Formats: sequence, structure tokens, C-alpha cells
Amino acid sequence: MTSAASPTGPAATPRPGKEREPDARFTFANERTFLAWSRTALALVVGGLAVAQLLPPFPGVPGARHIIGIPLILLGAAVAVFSYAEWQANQRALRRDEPLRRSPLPRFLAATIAVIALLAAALALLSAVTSHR
Amino acid sequence: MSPASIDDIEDVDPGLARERTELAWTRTAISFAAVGGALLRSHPAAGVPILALSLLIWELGRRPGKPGTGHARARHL
Repeated sequence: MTSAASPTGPAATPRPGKEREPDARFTFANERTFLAWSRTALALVVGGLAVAQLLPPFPGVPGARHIIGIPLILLGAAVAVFSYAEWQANQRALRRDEPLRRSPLPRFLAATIAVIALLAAALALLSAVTSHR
Repeated sequence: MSPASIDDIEDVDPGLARERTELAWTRTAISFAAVGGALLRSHPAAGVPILALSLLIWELGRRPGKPGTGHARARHL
């Protein structure tokens, strides 16, 4: 991402090692991103709980609901923690007028959801095959 | 800028950043409230704290800053 130079704020270039209050719009944007990740984390946790508690059992595959649901809940917890760390790192970079680091979160989230989806598909297929025997 | 000269909200809140951030906090609080409300019937012991958390989140999102300053309260690390 780009450097955190301020387009409107009181953006005197800080001396090396010095921190300053960044432009409020960057602070707000960083905060909104963190909130969006938090809502994503909450949705993952609720989705995992719903799979584990509300879904009917997979015939022939005991424990399948938990195999799908628990990773979703853990993913939600990981996203919540990482998003806070990222908010903190971005805020620090903004204060120091440093470039923002690239976020590993989208790749991590996409890869984990893809793995869980493949796992769910495999379990559903296995359940269909075993229940028709 | 005096309040009398303000005729466009964009002048005091460029990009409506403050407004959008407050709405983001509200959405987050509503998300937590929805989960808490849904849990209340089946698991009240889990639902009540989550509902309380949603109130806390809603309160956190309210900005005490003066309109037109363009700054929220300081977010120190």
C-alpha cells in the first residue's frame, strides 16, 4: 500500500523516530477495516456454531459437523486476533509516516475457507456414498 | 470555520470518514446484538454477555469530538 502521507491534515513531515497524529481520515479508514474484519470473524464463529449445533447429522459420517464447524470457529478467533494486530501495525505505520505492510489476512482467510469448503464437500460426498450402500 | 459558515457537511467531515466509521461501529454492534439475541432463547448464559458486549461496542463507536474538528478521540497505541 501507499505511504501514509496526509492529503489534508496537519501533515508536517515527522523527524525520524518521531510519531505524530495522522490525518483523521486514515485513522478512521484503518478503524473501519478493523471493524469489517471483526464482523467477518463474528460471522465465521456463528457459522461454525450453526454447523456444529443446528445442521442435521451427516448419515454414515459421525462427527462430520464438528469437523467442519470447529475449524470455522477457530478461523474466526484467528481472524479477530490478526485483525487487531494489523490495525495496531497500520496505526503505528501511519503515526511514523512509514509505508503500510502488505496484509496476509486476505490470503490466509481465502485459503482456509477453501480448505474447509473442500473438506465439507468431501464429507458430504462420503456421507452420500456410505448412506446409499 | 465558524458553524454559521458551514453549509456542506463535506466541509467539516471530508469524505464523511467520521460518519462512515460511526456507521461501521453501529453495524458491528448490531451484528453482536443479533448473535446475542439469537442465543438468548437457547443459551441465555451466552446470549446475555454478547448482548452486553453489543451495547459496549455501540458506546465505543460514539464520538465525543466536536463537529468540524475532523478528529476522533485520540487512538493511542
